[in-house]
Amino acid sequence: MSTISDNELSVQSTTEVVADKEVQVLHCRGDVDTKTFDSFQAAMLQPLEQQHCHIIVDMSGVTYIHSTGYGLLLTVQRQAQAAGGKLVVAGFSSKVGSIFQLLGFDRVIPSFPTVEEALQSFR
Amino acid sequence: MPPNPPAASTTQATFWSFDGAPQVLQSYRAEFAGSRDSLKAIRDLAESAAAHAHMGEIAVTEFEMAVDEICANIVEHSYEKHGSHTLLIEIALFSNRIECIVTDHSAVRFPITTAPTHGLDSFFQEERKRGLGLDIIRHSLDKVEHQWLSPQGNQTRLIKFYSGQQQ
Repeated sequence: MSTISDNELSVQSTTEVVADKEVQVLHCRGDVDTKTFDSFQAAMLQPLEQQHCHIIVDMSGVTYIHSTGYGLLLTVQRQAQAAGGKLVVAGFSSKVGSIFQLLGFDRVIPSFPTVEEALQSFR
Repeated sequence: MPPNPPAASTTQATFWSFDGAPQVLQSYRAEFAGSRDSLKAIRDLAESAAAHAHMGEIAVTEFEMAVDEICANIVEHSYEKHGSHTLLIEIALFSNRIECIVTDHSAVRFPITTAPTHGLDSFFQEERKRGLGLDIIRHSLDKVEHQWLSPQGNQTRLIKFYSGQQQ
């Protein structure tokens, strides 16, 4: 487990094994905005830097996402796909999830109600 | 829409103000330090005002996001590069809409109304990495206006009509 933390955002990383795949789960808590973006970006890029291309971003503790945060999700997902894996998100609150859907990100980034359901998608 | 009242005289001449504006049901006004540390408090103010207008959850979040995107742009692309000042946030609730005026002292013009946008669909199709903030602002609001406060400063006026209300 590793943790990257800013005053208003923390991201803890855990590893789950699903069907012989190592899936990195990034548990995010707080606001993803201009102030915390650097920490969020560092956490999001860490799995790929460590050769892990199966990623779940646990958004259950996230209360706000700035446009750069959405953009980064898309960037990391494309990089994960290029490496033979994928990025999915899980646990959106109704507030954040509604915006994710309204902006159309659900068309390109799979979203699941829980981390457990997201893990099943890697089978 | 009622005509704009005369600009209030403060330390900076402004184009728009809610001071004395007719039909304002409730108003909020706060000045913040122009730094990233202020963005959460600004969002909280916008969210609180929109919630008082009994807007739905999505509409509240859209309004909050638009205000945040405007302020973050000023902080990141002007204040952090050319010297920081304050951000004045004024929010007014009318019977059919919510308005926010963001006044800055930036040396950089942010003519948001004329900046090119590509649309959210093109963001995915063209694999763009930047510009989503402007698309979000245009998507979230019904009207955006801008004035340059010569010799320095922008006023950006954000307008969102309540669901089902006349525009």
